[in-house]
Amino acid sequence: MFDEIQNLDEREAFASKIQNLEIGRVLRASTAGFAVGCRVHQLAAPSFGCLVKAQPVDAREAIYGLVYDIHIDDDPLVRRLVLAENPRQSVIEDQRNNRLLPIEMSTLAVGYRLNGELHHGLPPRPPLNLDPVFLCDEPDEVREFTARPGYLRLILRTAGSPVPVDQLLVAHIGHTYQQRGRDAAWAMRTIEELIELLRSNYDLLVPTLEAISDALPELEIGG
Amino acid sequence: MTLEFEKITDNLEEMVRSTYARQQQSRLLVERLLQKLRDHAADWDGINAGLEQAIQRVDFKKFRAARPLDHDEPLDAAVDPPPLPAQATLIATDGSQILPDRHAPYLYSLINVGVIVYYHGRGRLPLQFTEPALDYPGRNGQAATPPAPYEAGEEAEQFADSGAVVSLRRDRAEIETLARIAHEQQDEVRPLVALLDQRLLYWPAVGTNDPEGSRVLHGWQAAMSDVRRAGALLAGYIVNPGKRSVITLLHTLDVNRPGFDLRILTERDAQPFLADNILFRHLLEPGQRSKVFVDVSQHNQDFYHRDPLNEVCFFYLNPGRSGRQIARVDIPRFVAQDPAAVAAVHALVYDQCRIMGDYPYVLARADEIAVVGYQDHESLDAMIEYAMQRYGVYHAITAKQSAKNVARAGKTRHEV
Repeated sequence: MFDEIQNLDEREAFASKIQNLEIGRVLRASTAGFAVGCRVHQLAAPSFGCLVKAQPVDAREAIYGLVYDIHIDDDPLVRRLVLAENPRQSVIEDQRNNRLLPIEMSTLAVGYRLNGELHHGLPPRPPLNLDPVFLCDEPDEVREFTARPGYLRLILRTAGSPVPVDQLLVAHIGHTYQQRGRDAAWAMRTIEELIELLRSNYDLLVPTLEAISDALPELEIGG
Repeated sequence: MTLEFEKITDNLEEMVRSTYARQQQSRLLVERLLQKLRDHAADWDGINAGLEQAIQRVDFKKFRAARPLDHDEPLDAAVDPPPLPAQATLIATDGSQILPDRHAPYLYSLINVGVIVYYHGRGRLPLQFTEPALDYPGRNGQAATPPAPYEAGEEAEQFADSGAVVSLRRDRAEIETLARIAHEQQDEVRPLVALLDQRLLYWPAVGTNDPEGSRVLHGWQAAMSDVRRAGALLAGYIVNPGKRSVITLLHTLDVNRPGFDLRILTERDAQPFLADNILFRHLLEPGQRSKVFVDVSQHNQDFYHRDPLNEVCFFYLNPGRSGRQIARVDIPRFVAQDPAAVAAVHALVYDQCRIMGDYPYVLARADEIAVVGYQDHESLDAMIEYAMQRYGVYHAITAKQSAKNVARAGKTRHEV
């Protein structure tokens, strides 16, 4: 749908209408990615591999990222409580909702939207801390972002870093396949692109394809 | 310059030897005292007679002893934790402060009281909040959170540039807040327990001749009465208590023995250091409490005269799951004289300790909520500075503070 909108103002208007779920705020950021702090009640929606967006309230560009790590910290009090017999429900509620222990999600920057136009690539500048972060769960926005496979290169370039590239690809493809209404044509195009991009890296390609095949048996990869 | 550890190694060795010697000495004394406790466990006439004679023969101002609250439980009683109420409400407060610093650009102090309300047995999210109050010169006698007018004719509090006075006011703010929240939670499930992490027999360090000390003490006592009026069970929880009132009580049994040294009843240095908790470590299994005692001291008489139901009583508690650490739980007479109220405080405080292992969860949380950390302190300083600049007011830290900051800053090596 978004691809059909040619007028820039209409594109901006469309983008502003997208009502995604806020899942937290930026804790720290670089052009390569950003960490999101969220509260317990915000954790139900996002998951490993999903597409999120840091959306500044001012005129700065929105930055898209893929969640590649969700981290829950402890502290001395939590460590004490873990040792207690049967923690009470009130205590669990208190720890999760009253105490300031943010759940931290790490995201890999994969694109940005500037002046209504979507780009796959690292953003010109990172989001600022406390910018709100939204889960991209509007099918139209997901279709628009994943319509072209350019962002896959940004995932693959992190091989060798703490980003679990193969698992991230599998989770992202599986998640997007569902969000796009079990779009098998999209999934197959994406897998073909991965094969092309990883043709000189069998160590990554083979386990990735095997994992995608296990996760999405209906696609009959290699069948 | 770092501490020159080699210069204190001899002292350290001496310290260890002295500690070991005292421990050996106290072991024998503990055995004798435990035997005496058992021998006189229900000797109510002998106990009363000893106490009365001791009170007549010593300087009462220096006397700190304990009297059994009743004759129902023996002196060496070890009472198992009673069944927990299915539901209850616990309120805890704790305070922290930023003390006035005359080397800082702006003179101010801050008292921050943390409050937690815990709904036992209801799986409900506890309520938590803080009540910060800023104080500064020229506040026109109005505190940010005005204290309740407990004493008719009391002068309004003025800014205090003394850290000791700010600490006193923090103590008062803790119990006054506790009393107010107890009133606000009156409709919640009973029993309603109001818990502090300090002794109830409060006595200001500056004494009561000091107007500030007197004001804080009277405010404290009035707040205790106020908690009672709210229908709450007040308790103070003391970790590793140094009180030795029960040991003094045992010594009074010998007051008529020839050659008895009366100084042992009033002077801490007249006997090897030994606190009640060391005795009760041998008596109380996890969860058990001691008999309830009444504090016998001039301070408690003052509490009694202002409100007889505020007379401070106490029991010892083994709060651990397996250990032998002993805590003291202070309760006012209005709680102590009601066995059901004592049982509720005993059961609920022990239950709170079990959450964390050996310390009440609500007190740990109240402390966490209240504490003003170094970063908060720095942020408040910055806020004040920016606000002052908006009015064109500029002050700087003193030269002394500036020099200290420079000297204590992180050192860097000069590379070539």
